[in-house]
Amino acid sequence: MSLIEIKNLFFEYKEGIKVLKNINLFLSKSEVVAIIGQNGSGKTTLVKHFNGLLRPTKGEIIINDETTIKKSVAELSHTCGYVFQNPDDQIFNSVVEDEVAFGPTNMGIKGIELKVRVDEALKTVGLFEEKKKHPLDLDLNQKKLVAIASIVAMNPELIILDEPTTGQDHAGLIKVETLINELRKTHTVVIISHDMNLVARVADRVIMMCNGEIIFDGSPKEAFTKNDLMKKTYLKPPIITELAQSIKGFRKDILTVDEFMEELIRLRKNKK
Amino acid sequence: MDIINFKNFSWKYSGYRGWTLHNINISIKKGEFIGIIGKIGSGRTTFCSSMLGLVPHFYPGIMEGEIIIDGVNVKETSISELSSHVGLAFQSPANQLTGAGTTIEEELAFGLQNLGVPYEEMNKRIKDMLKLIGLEKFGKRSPFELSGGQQQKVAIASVLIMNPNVLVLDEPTSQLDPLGTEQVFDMVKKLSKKGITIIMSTNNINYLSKFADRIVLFDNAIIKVDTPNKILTDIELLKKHSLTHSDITEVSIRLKKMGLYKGELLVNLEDLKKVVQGLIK
Amino acid sequence: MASIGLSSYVEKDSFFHTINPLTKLVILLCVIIMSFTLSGFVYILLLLLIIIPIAIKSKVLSLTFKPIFKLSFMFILLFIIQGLFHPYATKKLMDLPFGFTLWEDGLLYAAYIASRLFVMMVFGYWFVLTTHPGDLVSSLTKIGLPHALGYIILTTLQIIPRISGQMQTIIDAQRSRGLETEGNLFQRIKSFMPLLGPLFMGSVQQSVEKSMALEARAFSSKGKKTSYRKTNITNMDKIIMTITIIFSITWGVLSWIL
Repeated sequence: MSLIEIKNLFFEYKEGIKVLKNINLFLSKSEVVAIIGQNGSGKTTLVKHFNGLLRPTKGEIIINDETTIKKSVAELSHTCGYVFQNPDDQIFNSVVEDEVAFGPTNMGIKGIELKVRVDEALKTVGLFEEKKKHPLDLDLNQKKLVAIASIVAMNPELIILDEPTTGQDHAGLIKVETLINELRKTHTVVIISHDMNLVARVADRVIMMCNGEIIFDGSPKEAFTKNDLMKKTYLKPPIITELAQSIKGFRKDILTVDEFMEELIRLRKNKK
Repeated sequence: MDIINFKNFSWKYSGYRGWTLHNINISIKKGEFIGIIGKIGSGRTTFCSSMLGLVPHFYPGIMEGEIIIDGVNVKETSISELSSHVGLAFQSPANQLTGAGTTIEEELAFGLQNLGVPYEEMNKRIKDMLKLIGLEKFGKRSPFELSGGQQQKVAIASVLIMNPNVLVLDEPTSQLDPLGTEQVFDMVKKLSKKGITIIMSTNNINYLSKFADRIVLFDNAIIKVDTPNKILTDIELLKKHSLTHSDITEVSIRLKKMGLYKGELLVNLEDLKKVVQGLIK
Repeated sequence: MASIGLSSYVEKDSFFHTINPLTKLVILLCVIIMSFTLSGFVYILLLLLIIIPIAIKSKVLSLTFKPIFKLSFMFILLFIIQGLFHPYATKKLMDLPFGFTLWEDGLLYAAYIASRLFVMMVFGYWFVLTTHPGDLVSSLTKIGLPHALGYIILTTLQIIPRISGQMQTIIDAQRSRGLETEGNLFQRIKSFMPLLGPLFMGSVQQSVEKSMALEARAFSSKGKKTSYRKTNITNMDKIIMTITIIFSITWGVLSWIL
């Protein structure tokens, strides 16, 4: 079932520079979609249309069978949650739980329900213990999780994560990955990322953008075998994929160490 | 010859309880390429800033021990003086642009003006530097019009132009896209080949495995200093300090377990490629 | 992002682009002083005869007068208000319908103000168009403006586009969490904290990083500094300055005795 449907979307800035060209897209419920591409390829511009931060020059965005043209960002935020790249651009409260409560409060949620939502969201991201802390006392990994929790608490059907692993160390990376796998059970998740390891691990579907157009839409396995497209967007597949692709005889669509070992064993058997 | 020498160096920021860096001892030779790894909050940034004297001159706190760089004692030397010995570049490209110049040439000139370098010399150094970073044609453009990777290259060049013998890079690619990352890494590789001593903090272990001479693992102290192969394949050590090993190493571990491979654990793609090719031939 | 931010400097290959900013500053100051001291607005307006050839030679003629045209509405309003409602008006020019009166001294007063503004704006804008902010600051530091102050002036010109870009990101981030930034006054005031909080924290963080970057480039170095942009006072500059001052005094005296 489709959650978002985008039809013939064009977007240009005032000067007439086309930033998005003829985008057509369906996002189904409960899938994890990765949007990849170089900076300036239109990834962020595209997702800003989902919750109305930007409005199309031409074309239409339909969410749950309703057109979004007349809906405000505040209304759309109930369905489309957007977590910005830099948590410092949004954190303003002096207590973590107040920060997380901001979104639901704007939706008019009060009292017990508000408390339950905030607690649940903090538990989901694993920050329940830190809920009374000052956000400034958190490290970069945790601040990012606060930002995610503040959207999770609004319980939107779609959650957009813009560069969720930028500036994170290994521990942060693992947390984000686990979190995405948790969220996918109940939400549609869109990630914008340069981190191909993350994309290989969590995405069901990859959308590749270049110069404002979608140049590929398919599975991560397929995406990483499109060497010409990857080159065009200056992206490199995960190192294990790169290794497999560099060895004659190996399958080109290997994403994990497990797959690599299986393939190696298969090739050794064939040899015998 | 040692160009950098830390002797029992410790640092505590005022207002914080614990030591951010504790009892640091390390000697670095001229022309070495040192990779710095560690989790968030492990003191890597503080270590990097200490070489330019931001710690102890810019930030308030308590310092113990001694740092000698390029023949000068950091504690007794002002940051401006140190800037002729050590160049420091950090994460955000835009925040490093002074904004005092409207063109890349002027941005590069900023440090030289402060040092009182005469115009002819300045002009020559700027031309050379633009060539080195491959932005000859962009000299008159505004640095704010550049891509992130190019901006970072300008930021590095703008400290390099002051002719320091040591270049310190604190996560120079963490805010860049893959293309920008590649541009900056290529530049660093080139500088290292020219003989400049490089200290680079990054968690891109695939890059470090190829180009670093030694790697330092930080966790509020120096945990271990060794060759890339030794440190990056020590999976227990990495795990203990919230880091992880590369998939390349993982494959070599599994090959060893299966008895298909007997040598050292690997971090380098090319090395593993040869081993695997041998196995399926 | 605009490359020089607020500054409207236009790069052109012209004589007036190459002369020292201080020389142009002297011209501008003389014009400002004259516009307040000359007797008779006609004398003030005659100064425009001078700016036209200068602006043509500087290759920025239409740009120099552009802001004036944009503000022509303001000038018309000035004449209407002063002509009809000048508080100390005594000389009647004519009666108008609906009981309004057009006052001669009101119009005269408006003409004075308008000519002053007009001349100052045109010269001021010509100055901005032809003077690179870097050159201005570097020449000012040469005659004693503190180095740090010079830097602050320069970066202030650049910081505004950056802050507004960051503000837009913060607005987008908070709107995505359901914040209403439009609507009645109460709603707008309520949205202050979520917007200004992150902006303030971000600016603090940025200025810390920026000052480190400056230190890394020997900003507080004590010795003599040099300048990449050449701003020497040439003989030509001295000649122009002298002519300007002599002309101003003569013109001023003439306006009072004629």
